[in-house]
Amino acid sequence: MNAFKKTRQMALGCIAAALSCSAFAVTATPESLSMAAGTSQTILLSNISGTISVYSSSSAVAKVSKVDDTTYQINGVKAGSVEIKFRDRKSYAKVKVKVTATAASTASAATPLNGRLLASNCFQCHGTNGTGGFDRLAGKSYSEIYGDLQEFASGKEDADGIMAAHAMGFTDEQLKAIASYFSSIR
Amino acid sequence: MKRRQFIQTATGTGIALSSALFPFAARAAANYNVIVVGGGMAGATVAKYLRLWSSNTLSVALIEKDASYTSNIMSNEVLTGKRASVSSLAYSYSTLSSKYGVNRLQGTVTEIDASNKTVTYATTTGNVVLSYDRLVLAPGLDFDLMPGMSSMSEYDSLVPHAWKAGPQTTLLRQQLLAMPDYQNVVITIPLAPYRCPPGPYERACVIADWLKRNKPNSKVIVLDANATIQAQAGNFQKAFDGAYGYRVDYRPGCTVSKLQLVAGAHSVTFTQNGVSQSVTAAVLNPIPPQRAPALLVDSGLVSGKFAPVNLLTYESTLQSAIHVIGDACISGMPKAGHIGNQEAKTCANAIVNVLKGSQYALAETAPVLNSACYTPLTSTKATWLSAVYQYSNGVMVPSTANGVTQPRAAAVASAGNYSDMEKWFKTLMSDTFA
Repeated sequence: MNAFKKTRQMALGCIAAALSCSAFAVTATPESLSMAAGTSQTILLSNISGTISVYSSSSAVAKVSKVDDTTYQINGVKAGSVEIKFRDRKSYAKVKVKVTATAASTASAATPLNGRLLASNCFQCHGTNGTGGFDRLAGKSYSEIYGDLQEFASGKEDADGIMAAHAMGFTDEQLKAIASYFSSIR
Repeated sequence: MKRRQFIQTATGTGIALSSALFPFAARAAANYNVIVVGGGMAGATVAKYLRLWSSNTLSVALIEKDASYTSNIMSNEVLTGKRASVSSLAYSYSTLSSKYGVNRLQGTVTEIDASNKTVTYATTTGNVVLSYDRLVLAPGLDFDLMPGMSSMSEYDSLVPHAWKAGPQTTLLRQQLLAMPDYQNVVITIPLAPYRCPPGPYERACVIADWLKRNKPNSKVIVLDANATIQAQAGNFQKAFDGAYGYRVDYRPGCTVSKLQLVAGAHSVTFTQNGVSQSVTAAVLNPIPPQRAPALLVDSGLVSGKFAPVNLLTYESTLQSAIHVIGDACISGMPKAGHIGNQEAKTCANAIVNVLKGSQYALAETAPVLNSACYTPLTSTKATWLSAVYQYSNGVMVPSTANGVTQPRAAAVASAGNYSDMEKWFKTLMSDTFA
């Protein structure tokens, strides 16, 4: 089992690293990626010896944050290219990151926060993806949903009701992300 | 031994075949295996959303020992006959398989090997070993024996806790029906944290409301180990004091020292304010202290009574690549089905992000977790409780956004809330199982 596992990891390392097929070199997957500013992607490391240090050639372009020992997240900041090194005790793995400018968007469609996960708080009562239970939310306009949420959050509408209780717990930025998510569902 | 198990797995199931015999090909195609253990509110939700949010690219297996799930939510209404039977609260796993492609496996997980990333589960035809890239445990809870009890089977035959809906719920219903009038129904509540903070108080209310019509000279006595009512204190106190035409003898700060079990004439010895005393109970419903199941303890996932996790991902802080969601984890939030559903989505979102990459950021999510629950206080009126929690420095804290205090509760029990409760329950179960 252990021998089997090791072989599997070594071979995996070769596929991922492609260039240097040292069984003991730390490897990063993927080796290169392209992403828009304001989005993030995940890098998985394998064959780590000791602890990992991370070097980024420009944190103004992309920032790296650790998720766990083998998982790192790259956050695109602004357009540009950057090389990120994951160095362990014995070797290092390089990841080339190209960050493109944020896609042109209308003000209402920008999703700075994780709209999907935030909006999923509504699914228990409004159905998966807002398709109904209590009021259907999927496909309503951004301004209608955000307007309603704002009225609830400010206590202008049904201040003692359950929707006000929910909306009041979210920041304005989070309410915008929720409205953006539901308005994007077709 | 291990090798033999692997071969057995490979010939036994399709999911193991690809990863056991063709690991390189499987990995090159990024065919990650996620195994979910436990098919309750959290487990069913995480299986569904792992498939939905990975656009069906993650292989997801759901291992659960029971053929279907019985909802704890609404099960107090079986006790009063408002719902005909526990079978009306059964939810099948068939839609998770047919609509979302979850690989449903029936069996009992007996071993987790965190270093080799395998799970062993027992079926009627033998043991099966599966490999995982990520493991999600949603195992629910184990119940402790109450002082004076000699066997867990006494909960099944004599003093049902009915804190996991099923045959014990039916037994408690039968005991209430068979009880003569002029008797006590005694409910004991363990120290928090326990599953469903408002649940015991709701149970006291709906039973008292039923007794009012059916055994008008009997009463409900609640012996609460906690110093105060644990949720919706204002609404429950009002109900206990007679606002809905029944009364509940509520006694806070009671430490139960002994149950003496005699069918139809139990006695409970407890200490309140330093004074030891006893009450008799024609029907005794001890809600026991609860803890993460032994499987998690044996797997090195538990600290104290529950499993510590990173609240961004629900990954165990004690074992990597293993996530724990629902009532067994330490989230700082109430242990409840609606919350388990949202913990599951937070976990699914993180796993999809880690394994597949995503436009949805992980670190920036700062998860918000929103809970709603409705509580019947009579057979026609209900209240609700809502709480929004925001992630902050590693913990989930009641939100203070907009200068508003959380949680918030309905001002009054109403028929409107009762009909909203039915819609909430139906939609919640649909978001979880369909």
